[in-house]
Amino acid sequence: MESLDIAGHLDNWSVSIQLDKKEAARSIYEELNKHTDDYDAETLVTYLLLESRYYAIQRDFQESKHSLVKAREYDGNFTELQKYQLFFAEGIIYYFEKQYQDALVCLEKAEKYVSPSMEPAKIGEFHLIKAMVYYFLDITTLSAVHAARAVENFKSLEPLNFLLARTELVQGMNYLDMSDYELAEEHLHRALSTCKRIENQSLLASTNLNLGLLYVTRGLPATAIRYLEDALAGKQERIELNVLYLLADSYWKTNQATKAKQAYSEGFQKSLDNDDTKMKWEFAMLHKKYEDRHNFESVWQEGIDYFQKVNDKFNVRLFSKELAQYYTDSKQYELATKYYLLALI
Amino acid sequence: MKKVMFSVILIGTIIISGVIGYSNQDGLADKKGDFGSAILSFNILDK
Repeated sequence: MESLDIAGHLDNWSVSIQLDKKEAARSIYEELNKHTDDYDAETLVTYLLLESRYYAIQRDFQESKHSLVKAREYDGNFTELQKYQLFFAEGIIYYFEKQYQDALVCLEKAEKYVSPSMEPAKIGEFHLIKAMVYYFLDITTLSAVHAARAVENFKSLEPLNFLLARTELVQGMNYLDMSDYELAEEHLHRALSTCKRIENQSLLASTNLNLGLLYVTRGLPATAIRYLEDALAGKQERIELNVLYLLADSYWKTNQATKAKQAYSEGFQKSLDNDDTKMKWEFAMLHKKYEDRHNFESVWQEGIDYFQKVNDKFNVRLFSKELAQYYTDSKQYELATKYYLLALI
Repeated sequence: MKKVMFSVILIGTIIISGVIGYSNQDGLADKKGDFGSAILSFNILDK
């Protein structure tokens, strides 16, 4: 293959990957992969960084990381932009693996190479991903700062509706964390309108889940159910267990026990099938809260022990606070103190 | 416990990752919110 052909193939590959055309991308990959021995170092770095993205769009994160490891062998030849691409790609992979602290470390490295000469859309996307990572690290203020910077870069670009809707979601969820429900509602409904307009089913399901979460948090389970049922109808496997959990909770709160038990059974069984121990405990604890009250204390204590063991501090805080309130109400002050302390970790 | 940062001055890159051990040692916060499944947002421009 002539060098011009390689460059042309790499360009076509990049476009196929960006447009999520997996079949076209696979066909070009198979062609390019036969000639890697002929590439000079610069071409090889470009190839490996694209290969990482190629595997990422197929959700094969292990291979995606492997490509980045191979690219790192040539990091002496990296341009500034390639250094940015490497760290940003690592950050995104860690985000989807829910390793948020590692994702943040990579994004901080990438940020050193963010330059004003980059396209506003790319700068905006960087800040959006960083805002998403901060949200899951429970650092609301910095998530809000980066979401605002993302909006600044997106607002003048008409075709970036998807990115704007995704940013609206982050802003809405940050306002929810800050208990500013009116602004949370405003942002989430704006995202919902955009998702419907651009017919993005995946983001639409996520938006319905987030609206359901907002109304559950506000103590409006009947309203939450409408959005959670829509989220479930979106058939997005990634969020299905979270939707079923919130749905079961909302059905129980609105005295629809049959539907609640159905949602609980489906969620509990799927968490067993997926070997998702964390969600299994969450479903079990939810069930004991509403149905099997005489086992409530023991199962919640065991569940909190499990969350402590796996260092899931978010759930330790969440469930300990509720259990402590239960012990306070039943005048078991020693146990109440124990769980209030755990809620503070 | 959520840490509130009262003042943040964004000059250049501030390294926050080194001071967030309080949040979760594994960097895993089990929030129920979600921001979609797109890996690279540019994949789905105008869709």
